[in-house]
Amino acid sequence: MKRSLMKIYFTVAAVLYAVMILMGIFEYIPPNFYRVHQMNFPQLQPPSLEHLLGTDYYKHDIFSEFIYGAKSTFYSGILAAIPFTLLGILLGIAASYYENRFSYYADRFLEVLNAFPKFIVLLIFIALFGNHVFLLMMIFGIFSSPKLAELIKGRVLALKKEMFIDSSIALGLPHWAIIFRHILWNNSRSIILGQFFFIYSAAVLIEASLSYVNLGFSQTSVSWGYMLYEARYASGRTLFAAPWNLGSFHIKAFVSIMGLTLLTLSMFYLSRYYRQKALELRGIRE
Amino acid sequence: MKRFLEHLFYFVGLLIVQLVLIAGVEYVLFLVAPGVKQKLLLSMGAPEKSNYAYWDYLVTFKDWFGRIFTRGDLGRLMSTGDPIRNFVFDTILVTIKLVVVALFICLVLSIVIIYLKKSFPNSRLVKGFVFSMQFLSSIHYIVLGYLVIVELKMSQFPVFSYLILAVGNGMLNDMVELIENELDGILNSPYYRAALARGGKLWRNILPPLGITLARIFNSKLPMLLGGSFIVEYVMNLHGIGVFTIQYGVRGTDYNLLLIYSLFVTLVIVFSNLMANSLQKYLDPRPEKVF
Repeated sequence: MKRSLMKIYFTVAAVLYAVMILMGIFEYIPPNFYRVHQMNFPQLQPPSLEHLLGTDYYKHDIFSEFIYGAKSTFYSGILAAIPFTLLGILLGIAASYYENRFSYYADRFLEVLNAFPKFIVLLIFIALFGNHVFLLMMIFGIFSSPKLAELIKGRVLALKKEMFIDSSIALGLPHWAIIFRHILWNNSRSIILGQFFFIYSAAVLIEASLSYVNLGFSQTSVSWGYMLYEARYASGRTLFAAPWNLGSFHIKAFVSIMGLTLLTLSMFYLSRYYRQKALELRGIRE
Repeated sequence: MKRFLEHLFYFVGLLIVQLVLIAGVEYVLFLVAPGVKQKLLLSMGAPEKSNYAYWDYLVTFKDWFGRIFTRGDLGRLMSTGDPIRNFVFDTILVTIKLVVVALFICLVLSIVIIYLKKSFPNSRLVKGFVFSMQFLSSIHYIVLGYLVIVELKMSQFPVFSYLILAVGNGMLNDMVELIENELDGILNSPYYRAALARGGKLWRNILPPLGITLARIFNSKLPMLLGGSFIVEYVMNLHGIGVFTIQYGVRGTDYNLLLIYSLFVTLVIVFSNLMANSLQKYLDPRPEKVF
């Protein structure tokens, strides 16, 4: 796809996603300000002006569920991405900038964190502490942070040999300024942004998987994963068998699949774009 | 022979030490969780008491691990009282089969894609095929599972479970990218060109370094596959260890089963780690660095 077309697509998608998140956060779901826990709608209604995407077998308004699902993806993505970014940067710097005993132990700590399979750790935490999704997503972010830390570490080790770092030290610049301004902001921000989008999409998928097995946001709010689970177990017909006869469950499955796929694909392409930008900065063209 | 035995002894010793250490950390994590301690100790075969001393925790863990290690006794389910050994091995076999076959399918598909990309770089057909595989690989397991079960109505064919795990959630994309990068690195390396100029065989010079790379890639992808196998088992209604654990360990109170599941996952990961290291020692002709 051409770059201009990509830009238009990403701008439209970002605006739509932001509008949906805001609608979910402020509980403003037109046309009649539906709330997701309202279950007194007529069952299995087709799309109409009253219910934009119809209602399902459980008497939910599908459009409201879709909007609340978007809000859940935003919470899960952000909750995982913040500890991931902070801890990843800190551990990456700690393991590489100063070559001392502390950096050795920080490096070993990275290896230990990296060895844990994340999904299994999440399952153990669910069994022991209950499925508080806020806690789970933060745990996921923390256990994924070695991925960013390794990239930052490699970048720091390469940049430390450069002349501009030596001259900054000789000029008397404080170490924090060298780390945050010269290394992180000027030379590693594309890596950090790319990894931010990567972990956002990974967290959305992990949350959808947990909700699919009824261990995620599905217990407190609505999730696209849980919508797909409901659509699977209540639908007798297929999406492609009779496209002219669109029942509500077809729409429910369709919107949750489209939402999950488009969101994660967009995040994946954004992460690749920033990775290419980081490589271009080093003079490597893929 | 002596060197091989030394290596084997070192391998098994390191495996056991790492297993005990990681299982110990998990045991401590279980003990600090609120409201779990009593049930955990009872499920691990400790005598019923109102108050446990610190020594009891250590003895319970030692006895539990010793029973597993020496007699293969995994204990009983708290909920039904059935011995875990009766059904856990069948479920573990289902999971291992799923992971190994998916890994194999992923490797074959990756090699086919890389071969097609290298052999026909300008073919539109190949570009379309590669793009469609990349797109399919970007889709998550639950969506692929939904499409197979509800849309295609093909849940009775087990091959789809393997395909979903091999392709979905970016697995194939990652594998293609990693193998392609390493292969390009080998083909452009000076030693390979020198070997070709001296009349060396193509595969004799490519296979050992590629073998090391593949072992490292498999090793790095194994945790993701084990986590993914649990979702695929759930989506495709397979009776693997993941579904079994969520039924009893996560939703129920059989904490010893959860501990055994994490022990199994740890065993697989540690084993593959050590295998990758050992393979590197055998395949890499350069001497080891001594620090």
